[in-house]
Amino acid sequence: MPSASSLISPKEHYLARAQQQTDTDLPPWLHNQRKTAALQLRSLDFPSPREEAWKYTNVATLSKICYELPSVAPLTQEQTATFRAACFDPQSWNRLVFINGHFAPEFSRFETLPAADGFLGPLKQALQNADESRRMEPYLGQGITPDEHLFAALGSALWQDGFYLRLAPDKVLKNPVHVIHLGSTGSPVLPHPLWVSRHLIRLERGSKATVFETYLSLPSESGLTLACSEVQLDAGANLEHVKLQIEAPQTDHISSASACLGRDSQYQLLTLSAGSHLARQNLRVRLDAEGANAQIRGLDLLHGQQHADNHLLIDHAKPNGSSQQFFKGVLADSAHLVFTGRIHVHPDAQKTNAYQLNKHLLLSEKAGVDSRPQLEIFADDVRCTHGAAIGQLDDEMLFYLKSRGLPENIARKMLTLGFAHDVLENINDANMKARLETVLSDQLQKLTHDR
Amino acid sequence: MLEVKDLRVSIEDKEILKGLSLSVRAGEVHAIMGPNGSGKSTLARAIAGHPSYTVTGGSIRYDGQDLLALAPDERARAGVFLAFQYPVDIPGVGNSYFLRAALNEVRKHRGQRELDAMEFLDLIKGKIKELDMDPELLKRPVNEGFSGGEKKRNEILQMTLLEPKLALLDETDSGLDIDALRIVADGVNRLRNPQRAIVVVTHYQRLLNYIVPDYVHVLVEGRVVKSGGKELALQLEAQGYDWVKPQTVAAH
Repeated sequence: MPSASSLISPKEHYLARAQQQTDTDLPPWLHNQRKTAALQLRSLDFPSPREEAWKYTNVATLSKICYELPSVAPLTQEQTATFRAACFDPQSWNRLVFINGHFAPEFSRFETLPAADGFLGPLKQALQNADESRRMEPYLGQGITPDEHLFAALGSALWQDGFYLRLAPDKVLKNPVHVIHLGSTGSPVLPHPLWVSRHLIRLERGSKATVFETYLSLPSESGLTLACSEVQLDAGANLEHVKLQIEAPQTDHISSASACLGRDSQYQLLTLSAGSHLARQNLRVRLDAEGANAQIRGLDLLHGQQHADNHLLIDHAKPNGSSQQFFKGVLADSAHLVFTGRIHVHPDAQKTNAYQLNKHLLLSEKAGVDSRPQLEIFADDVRCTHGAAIGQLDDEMLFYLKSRGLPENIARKMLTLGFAHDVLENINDANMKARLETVLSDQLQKLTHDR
Repeated sequence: MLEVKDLRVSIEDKEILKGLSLSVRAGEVHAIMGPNGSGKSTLARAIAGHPSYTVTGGSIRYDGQDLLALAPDERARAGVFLAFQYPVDIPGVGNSYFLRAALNEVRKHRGQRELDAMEFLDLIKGKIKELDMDPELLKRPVNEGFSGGEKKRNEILQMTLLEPKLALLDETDSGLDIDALRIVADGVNRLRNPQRAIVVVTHYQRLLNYIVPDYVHVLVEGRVVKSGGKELALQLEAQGYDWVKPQTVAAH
C-alpha cells in the first residue's frame, strides 16, 4: 500500500514490517533473535556522516525511502533472460537461486549432502531440520549483530532467506557453489523493493569449499539490497569465497560479511563490485586462533555517479596469523570510492604478519578516492605493512602504446585492464576466472568508452 | 620520404630544436650524432609525436603528408616507428598480447587480414629466435623485469614485426654489451631495404660499425651543424665534438 506507507517515516515502516514477520515456523531462538533485532531497530537511527564509520558515505537519500519487501512472483521473460546471463556455472556446479530474497527452486540445482557430510541448501529449509537448527544457533546472527548499525538491525529483523553451507570435518566439496541473487520485481507497483538475505557458511575441521555469489538486478530496478554473510572456519578449514556485485545503476547495496577463522584455517575472499549507485561493504575477519590466514582482495569498477565504500576490519586475536588486504579501484566520471582498512592486533597476537595495499586509478579529474589505513597494534613482535597509491594513467605508457599504432581508446583500455587484472590472479577455478575477466572487460568498456 | 624543415621544438617552454632541417630518402640510413643535450632524442620523439614536445615552428613531411597533423598512433600506423631509448614497463599488459594487438592495428590499416593467436605465435617465434631472445619474455608484462639489453631487443622485435617505412632508433646501443649490440645491429640490418629509411640517433660511433650509415649529421644546440658520409662518424670518434662546436658559432 504505497499511499499508506508514504505517510509514515521509513523507520516506522520497517518496524511495522518487522512486526508483520509471521515466521511461526522459525525455531524459538531465531524468533527471539528477530524480536531483539526489531527492538534494536527502534533505538537506532540511520547512520550519519558525523559517525566516523560513515564519514564519507551519506545514506540520506535512501533513508527517506520506504523500501518494501517483495513477495514471490513468477518471472517475466526479461527477468529470466537477465538471470540466464549470470549463469556461467557449468553443469557440475551447485546453483542456488534467490529471486527478490526468496529461494527459487525451479532455477536451482544442487547436491543433497548426506547428513554425515553436512548441509547445503536454503537457510529456511535448513532451519526446519532440528539438528541443523541446533548447529546453527551458536553462529547465525552472532558475527553480525543488530546493534552495529541500523542496516544490520534491518537485515536481522527482515531477512527473507539465504543459503546455508555446512561441511562436516575433512569433507571437501568438490563442486563449487554458485549463489545467484536476482533482485527484480519487474513491477511498477513496487518501485522500491527491499532485498534482504542472510547466509551462513560453516566449515568444520579440515573441510574445504568454494562459494561464488552473484548479486544482480534488472537494469530498470531501483531497490535496496541488504545482505549479511557469516562465515565460521574451524581448524584447518579452507574457503575460497568470491562475491560479484553487478546490480543495476539505480539500486543501492549494503552488505556485511563477517568471518571467524579457527586454527590454521584459510579464508580467501575476493569482491568484484561494479554495480549499484551506492555500495557499502562491511568486511570483518577475525583471526580467532593461531596460524590463521586471510586473503582479502577487492576490485571496484565505478563510473557515472557511483559511490562505493569498502569498510574492513582485520582483527588479529591470536599469534602467528597472517592477513593480506589487496584492493584496487578504477574510477571514471564523477565516481567516488572510499577504502577504510583497519588492522587490529591484540596484545596476544604475537608474530602477526599483516599486509595492506590499495591502489586506485582515476580516469577522470572529477573522480575521487578517500583511502584510510588504520593500524592498531598492541603486540610488539609483529610485522604490519600498508601502502596506498592513487594515480592516473601514465602518459609515457600511453605514448608507448600509441607509438605502436594502438588508438587512444584501445591503449587506455589496455592500460586500465593491465592495472586491474592482477586482483584476479589467484583465482584457481578457470570458469570463475573467465567469468570475472568477462565482467572486468565489459565494465572497462563502459569506463573507458569515448574518453 | 622524410622532409624536416626548419623545425623548432620546445619542452616546457625551453627551445631544444632551433630550426633543424633534414632530408631522408627511402633506402637510406642516416645517423644523427651530437653531444649530450644537442637535441638528438628530441628530434626522434618529436617525429614520433611525443606529447611533451611542442612543435613551435617548421614542418615535417612524411611520405607526402603533413606528419604534424597526425596523432602518434596515426603516425605509427602510417609506418613511423620509434625504438625508445628508455622503453617503459607496462605492468599487467602481456607482451605477446600487446605485440599482437599492435601488429593487427597496423595490418588493419594496411588492408591486411588480422592474425589470430596461433598465426601470431608462429610469426613471432621465428623473430624471437633471430634476436636470440628468451621466449618467456613474451609471457611477461611488457618490459617488466626485462634487463636493459632485453628491453632494447624487445624494441627491435617490435620493429621487425611492424615493418615500418621509417624507423627511428633512439640510442639503441646504450646499455648493450658487444654481443647484444651485434644481435641488435643484425636485426636492424635485416630490415634495410630500398623502400625503408632508417634514422639512427647515437652518441657514440660504436654502433655505426655495425649499422653502417649512408649519411652522418652532427647536431649541436638544436641544429645540424655538419653533414657528411660515414667517415664523419670516425672523425667525431677520434676528435670529439669540440671541433664542430666553434664552427657553429662562427657560421651563425
